[in-house]
Amino acid sequence: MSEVKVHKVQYRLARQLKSGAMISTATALGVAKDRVKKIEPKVLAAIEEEFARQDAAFADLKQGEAIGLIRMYGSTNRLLGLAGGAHRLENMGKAALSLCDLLDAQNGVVPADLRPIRVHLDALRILKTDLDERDQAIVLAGLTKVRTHKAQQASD
Amino acid sequence: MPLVAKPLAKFNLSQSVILLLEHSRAEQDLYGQMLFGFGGKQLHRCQTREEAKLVLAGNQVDLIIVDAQLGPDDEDGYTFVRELRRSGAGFAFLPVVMITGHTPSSQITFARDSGVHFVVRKPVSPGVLLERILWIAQEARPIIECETYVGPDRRFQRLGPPKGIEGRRADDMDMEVGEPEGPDLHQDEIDQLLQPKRVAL
Repeated sequence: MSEVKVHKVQYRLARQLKSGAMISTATALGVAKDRVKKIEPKVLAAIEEEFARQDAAFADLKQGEAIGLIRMYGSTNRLLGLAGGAHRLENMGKAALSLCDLLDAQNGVVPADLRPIRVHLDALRILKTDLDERDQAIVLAGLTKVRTHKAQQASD
Repeated sequence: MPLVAKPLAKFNLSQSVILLLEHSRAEQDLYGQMLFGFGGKQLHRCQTREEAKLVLAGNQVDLIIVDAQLGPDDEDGYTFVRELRRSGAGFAFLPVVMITGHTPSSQITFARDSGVHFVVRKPVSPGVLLERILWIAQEARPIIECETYVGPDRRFQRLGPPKGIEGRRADDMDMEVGEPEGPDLHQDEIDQLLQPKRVAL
């Protein structure tokens, strides 16, 4: 059996958090949300840049190049992160997750039918707009259907 | 079940030095704004593992926040944390919060086994990020160092060693309860222990 060392550690961070001029979690969260809101235009611009990267990756896929899958997966993961930039982007985040699932299931093989991916790319763009919640739910339900159909095809 | 008994209601992040390793500039801005909002004042932003290593070598850092997916020309965040834990340096056991994007369960296991303290799934909300940082203030897990793993104790639920396996720790308790040492409690006494009620005297 290999040797196991157990280190009892005291984090400096733990001490710092509990000393000096403290603020309440409610205040901190309020300030953080305000600060995030202020950079929303920057986040939205970054999302547009990722859309452009996704389009480039989609062009790779149309050429049958598997690198497009990796590029699109990376870009969609970044979109997922950016979805934290505004409350109204929550559903765009869900669509990004759905696309990640779809790409992950490809196991590095470019699919013959690219329509499920195209539908997701279009959905991401739609969900970035000020679409009302009912319509957003319809878009998300459509993506679920696409993924279910795709999974069914794979198991047949 | 919450990992900490009682979350902090007040805190001070202004004295802490935070290293944020995130390839995407836009996400750096996003998480940076959250951390400044929490009162953080000293933030090192790094895009690559090499930049992060330089910051660690030249500064006293108190908290690391790292994205699991780094740039296309870099290794991932898991590798960074594994290297950090094995570095043997004074900063090897620093608290680490990992941010992950698409998270199949295998990736969560991968993150845990790389030696991080907590994993936060994207999209990151200020509430969840702050909660994880404050959890570290009440973190009581020791750091385990062995051939295959260096990082916080992954067994935070003390259920004892698996049945039929002898425990390896001095404080591992036997799964066998053994014989009673005193008179049995009545059910109402047990209920009282689990669910105290106000009584009228």
